[in-house]
Amino acid sequence: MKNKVLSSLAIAGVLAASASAQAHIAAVAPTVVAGKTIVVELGVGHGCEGSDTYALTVDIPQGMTSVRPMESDFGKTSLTYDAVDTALVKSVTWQKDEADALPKDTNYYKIAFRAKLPAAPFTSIYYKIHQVCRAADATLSYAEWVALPGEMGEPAAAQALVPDHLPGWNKFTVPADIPDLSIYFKDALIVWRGSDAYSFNDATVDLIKGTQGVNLLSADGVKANDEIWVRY
Amino acid sequence: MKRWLFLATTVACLWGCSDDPAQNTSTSSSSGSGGGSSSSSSSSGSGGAGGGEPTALVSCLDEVDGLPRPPSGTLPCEYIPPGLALPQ
Repeated sequence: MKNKVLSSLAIAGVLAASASAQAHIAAVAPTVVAGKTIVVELGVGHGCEGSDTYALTVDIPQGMTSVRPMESDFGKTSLTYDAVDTALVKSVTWQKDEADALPKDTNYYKIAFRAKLPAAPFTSIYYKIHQVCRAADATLSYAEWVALPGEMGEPAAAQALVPDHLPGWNKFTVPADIPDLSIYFKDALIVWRGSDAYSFNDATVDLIKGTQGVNLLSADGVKANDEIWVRY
Repeated sequence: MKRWLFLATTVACLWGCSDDPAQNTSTSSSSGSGGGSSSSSSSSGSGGAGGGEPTALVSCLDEVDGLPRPPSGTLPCEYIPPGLALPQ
């Protein structure tokens, strides 16, 4: 009986954890090609403890240029600019009209803007997002999605920058240590450093283990200046 | 003498020509690609008249062992990067 209760609690914990993971404000595309101009989409999973999301402000990451926000369910946007480079967008705010605020936290929202990404492959960019919610009685509440990896608090939305690549074989020199290869190579068929190989796909991992002369790439990933072959 | 030679050539030609469509028809039906199709499509598939050996068209699925298919237990060669030699 005790075991049943414990396992039920464990399952409930896992479900709660996965639900909160899905509920974060997150980038719709977890990986993007460095240096490209793309449409960044951020998904807003929930409001603040039952209150509908009323406004969102996104701090534009350093190195990102050519920002042009798109209108959304929140209506028109407002921008702030860099004090020195007055053409450089520093933040974008989407805010609803009060009449459009919903009585409860029922909706999923997507906000988007066009931008040119930094030309820095094998790094990640983080979008710090400030969320304002509005209850039915007009009370405002706030949530800060600004924590970087290793920091306490609600996590900022992240996107991993991968190098431009084509289907087939691609050769890269790694600019810095990459301890977790899954961040950048989840969609690659296989990654090689010398005779060591990595794949996110478990079936391919089994084939790597079964091939004579091939080792699984070590758990600490690849190091700066390593030369790697990647097949997409 | 010349008349006999002409007659024999004509008969041989007629016999050969009448044989071609039959071969095409049987090829078409054995491959399963054209069952019930007209004779014109059969002759176009054979590459025209000429009396050569008909080429049997067999779909890849009919030769299940013809191509290596995963999982074989080891990495397929197309997963091995350029320049890497592995022990056989």
